[in-house]
Amino acid sequence: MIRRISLKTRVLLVLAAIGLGIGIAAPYLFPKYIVGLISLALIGGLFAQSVDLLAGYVGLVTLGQAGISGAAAYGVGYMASKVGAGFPAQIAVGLLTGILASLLFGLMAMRSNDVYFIMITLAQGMIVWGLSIRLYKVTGAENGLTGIPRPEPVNPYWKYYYLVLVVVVLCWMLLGIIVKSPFGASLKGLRESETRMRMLGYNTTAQKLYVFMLAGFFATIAGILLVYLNGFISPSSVVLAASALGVLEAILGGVGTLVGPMIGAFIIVAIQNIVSIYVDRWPTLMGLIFVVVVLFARRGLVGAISDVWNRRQQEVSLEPQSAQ
Amino acid sequence: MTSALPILHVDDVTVRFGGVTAVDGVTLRVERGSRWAVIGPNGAGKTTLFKAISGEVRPTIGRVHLFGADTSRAHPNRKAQRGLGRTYQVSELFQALTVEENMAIAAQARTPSRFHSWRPLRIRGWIDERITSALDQLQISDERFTVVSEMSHGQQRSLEIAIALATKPEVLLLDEPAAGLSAAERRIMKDLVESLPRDLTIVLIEHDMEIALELVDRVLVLDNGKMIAEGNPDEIRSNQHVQDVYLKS
Amino acid sequence: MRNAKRIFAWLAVFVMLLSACTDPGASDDTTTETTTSTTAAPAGGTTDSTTGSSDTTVAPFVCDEPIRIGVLQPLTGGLAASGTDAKDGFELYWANHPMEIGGCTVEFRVEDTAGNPDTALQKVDELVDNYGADIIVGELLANVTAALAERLADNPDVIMMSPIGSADDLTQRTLYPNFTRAGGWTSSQTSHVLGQWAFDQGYTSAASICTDYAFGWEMCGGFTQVFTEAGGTVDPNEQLWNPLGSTDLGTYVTQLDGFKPDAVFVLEVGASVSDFFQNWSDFGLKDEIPILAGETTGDVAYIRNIPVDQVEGLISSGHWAEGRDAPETQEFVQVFDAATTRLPSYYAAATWTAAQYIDETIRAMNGDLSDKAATLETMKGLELLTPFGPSRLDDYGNPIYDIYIRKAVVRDDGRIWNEVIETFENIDQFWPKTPEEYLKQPVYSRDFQGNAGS
Ligand SMILES: Nc1ncnc2c1ncn2[C@@H]1O[C@H](COP(=O)(O)OP(=O)(O)O)[C@@H](O)[C@H]1O
Ligand SMILES: [Mg+2]
Repeated sequence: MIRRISLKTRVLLVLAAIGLGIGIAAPYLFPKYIVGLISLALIGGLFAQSVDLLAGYVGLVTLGQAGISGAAAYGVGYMASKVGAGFPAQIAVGLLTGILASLLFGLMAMRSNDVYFIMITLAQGMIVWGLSIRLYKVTGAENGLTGIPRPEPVNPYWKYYYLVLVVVVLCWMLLGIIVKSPFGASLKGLRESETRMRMLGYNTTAQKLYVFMLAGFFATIAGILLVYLNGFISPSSVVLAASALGVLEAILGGVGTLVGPMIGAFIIVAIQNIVSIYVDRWPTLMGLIFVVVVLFARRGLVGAISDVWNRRQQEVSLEPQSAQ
Repeated sequence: MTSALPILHVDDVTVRFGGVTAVDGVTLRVERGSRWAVIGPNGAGKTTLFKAISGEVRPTIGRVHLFGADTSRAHPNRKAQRGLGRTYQVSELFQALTVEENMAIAAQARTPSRFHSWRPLRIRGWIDERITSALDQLQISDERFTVVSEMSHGQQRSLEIAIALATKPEVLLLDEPAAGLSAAERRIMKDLVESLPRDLTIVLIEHDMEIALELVDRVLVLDNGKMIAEGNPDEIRSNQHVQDVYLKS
Repeated sequence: MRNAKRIFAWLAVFVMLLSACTDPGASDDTTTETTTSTTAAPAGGTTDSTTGSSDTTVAPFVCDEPIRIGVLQPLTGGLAASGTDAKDGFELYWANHPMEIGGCTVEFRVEDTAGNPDTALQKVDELVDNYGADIIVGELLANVTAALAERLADNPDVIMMSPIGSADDLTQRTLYPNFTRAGGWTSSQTSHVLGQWAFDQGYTSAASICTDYAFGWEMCGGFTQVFTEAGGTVDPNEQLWNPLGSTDLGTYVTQLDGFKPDAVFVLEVGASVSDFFQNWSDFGLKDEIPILAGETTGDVAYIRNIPVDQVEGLISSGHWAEGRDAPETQEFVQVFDAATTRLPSYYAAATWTAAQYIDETIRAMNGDLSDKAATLETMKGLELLTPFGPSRLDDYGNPIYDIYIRKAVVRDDGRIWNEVIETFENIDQFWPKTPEEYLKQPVYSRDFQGNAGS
């Protein structure tokens, strides 16, 4: 038992080291285009992790997370392209709008569960989308905001990539601490039985607001990273499909894990950008993969792999006795 | 009657769900350290009475005083924070988590650490002691690392109580702890409840009158939401009205 | 936990719906083409419709590398039909013209953006860095076009052409040095003309209904400003704005009826177009109030899918008129119709024309596109006879065209198309103002319609 866990841990550590190694070496291994894709996937992964913090750990599926990351991105974009403010002000306003949006939306959603939570967050995403189209003086409406340069020290694509890598890995570690913390444990309790949690003395409403804001904070970071990656923000970053993509990436990789959403994001980015060069009906392919995952691997790819792993381990430990 | 305030005072409480009167003018004064049973046939309103005490439903009429304060309108988590614990007739456990995780969530529930999110949860020190002692008390220490959904029904019933105990309550409401258990298991459960610390105030719902009467000092009998009798176990045993109600059900 | 499972089941359904919605419109396409020079062009039947400089008596030139063009269009998602028209137009040009120009070969690759700027930005990086594109042609949506222009702005090795994305400011207040709209247009360019024409018809008051987004504001603003400055009146309260994607325009139509205007300017897109005409005819207004449609609303891509009785006779303005009786237009229409059995929309004409601009520029540069600034200057010097008619670029990189007042007419074969009833020649994006005068005003928005009467 003990040895099995440590073997698993060892394998995971080796995988993490390989992943980090490739991550660090990427600009030297791959062309600019691929490095750009990895940046995009890392940011998408962080976004999906923020969705999964709610969906996987608390069981609250949100369809409005892009509204929060979008609010942050628009905050940065507005300060950069309309006000012409410096980077500290851009980032400060981005953080502020993102966190403010999380607070407002959290207050609206914290008393609901299940399908009602989905509906409310969906409506919240639509509100941001509607504003992005309506407030054209702030958002540039359909045309979006252009002219959002990156800070000079990280302007070259590969330097920006390293910034993204560092920030995403840091956030990932923070998320890792959060889900393993006392509060993280209480989130799992909330997912399993809100009734019980309340009867144990947990203020589940406050819990939900807090976790909603934590998730919103990481979505905000993702939104800010994305707007500087693209130098651009438009309503298509805050549409329902953008929020839904986060949920789907989490489901694809495996909900209730942090590595799952990241893997999901890499797969989606690969399908969207690489597979689509060779396959015309790539959206259908994407849909099919999801359906297959939802039907046959409820816990996503990570869940499926760990199931296979556990079964193999069991077979190994059963082998001596199986010679009947 | 002592001069001190009772630790729990249900004062003429009525609970209505639309047209249904589930609890009808019930009064109950529970002294610190005493053990009570609420008995009565199915649908008598026992669970609803618990819910009114815990705050899961609000009394339509009447008041609920806990620890000397009027808590008629307080939320369940506020009452739990003050020291009220409760178990469920149908287990409400964190099914996908291990026993230890279930216990840890409960053990930290009344401490500030429940909102700590920037450091890992470590099961050691006081939290470990609390978990260990509660599991020991309920004799499920061996299951510490088992996922709840893989435990037997009997073990889940024990964990149901262990979780409530881990919050270190002063008043514990046990809703049919022996529900769904075999006759043998019921005896074990009875012994477990009996062995709980004496300074813990317990109100127990039990369908099985014999078990209930062996465990407590005082008994309240409900039928159709109304109190039909109150007294010590011997008085209840010999109460003809109670016998009638039980025979008919 | 059971709840969570139920939610995932719902999500599965949701996903299937999503993927069904984003099914490619062009289902019979197999893979994204990588067309190379080996596809020899059919020699016959092609028209060398150049009027300008390049009478190819120049000595043959030799290229070390092929000239590469990257095309970005939405080939999946809600815009797939239009994006496919655009793709077909570009491909058909090269299928009908030699891809060996002098000693140089031309290659191109078409990539799907799904109408998403994030995807488009990644693909453009791929096209520029990996494929080595010299020219990027794209996209259909204003925001994607803006994002691409921004991304390429400081890349001196690429020229960006936008034959469809028409946001006014891209050739007005937000200029990029390597950007041109060759083959394209600005939104308000065609509705300016319609405003003048409406006044010339004797209409003195007009109401409008436009989709409530940037493109709608620009189209509506172009009409409103020129119409009111000519002497007509538009009551700002009689300018209706419906949300993007509305499909019940009945209440708007009743309101318009109540205003009793001389004419109504209409700019709808997507599913709202057919809904508008359905309501308009249901309320019996077709013969009551004349409609003046913006270019896209009257485009054959939309009206061919609407019951003929609702749109026959529809007046609109545009730089494109597939029914224009001129060889340079009709030869393209026939090539496109023969290949796709569709009458070409402006999306198809636009990318064809963009390809024509590229072709002629390569010739004029003797195949040497290494200096992109010089290449762009050369392109700006071209005067071409395109399917749109005579075309040249202004100093801002936007074409100067003849703009047509069009009427929807049913052809002998039963299909509807737009014929020309009046031509306004040599119209630039600022007409009837000078650039200096025009650029003093802000870009059109809901709040600024250039209304002279308010
Ligand atoms: N939420 C509710 N809504 C309506 N009726 C309820 C509700 N909860 C309980 N009841 C009704 O109240 C009565 C008492 O129920 P309960 O307290 O669960 O009984 P017991 O626990 O004594 O078996 C029953 O008739 C039951 O149907
Ligand atoms: Mg009950």
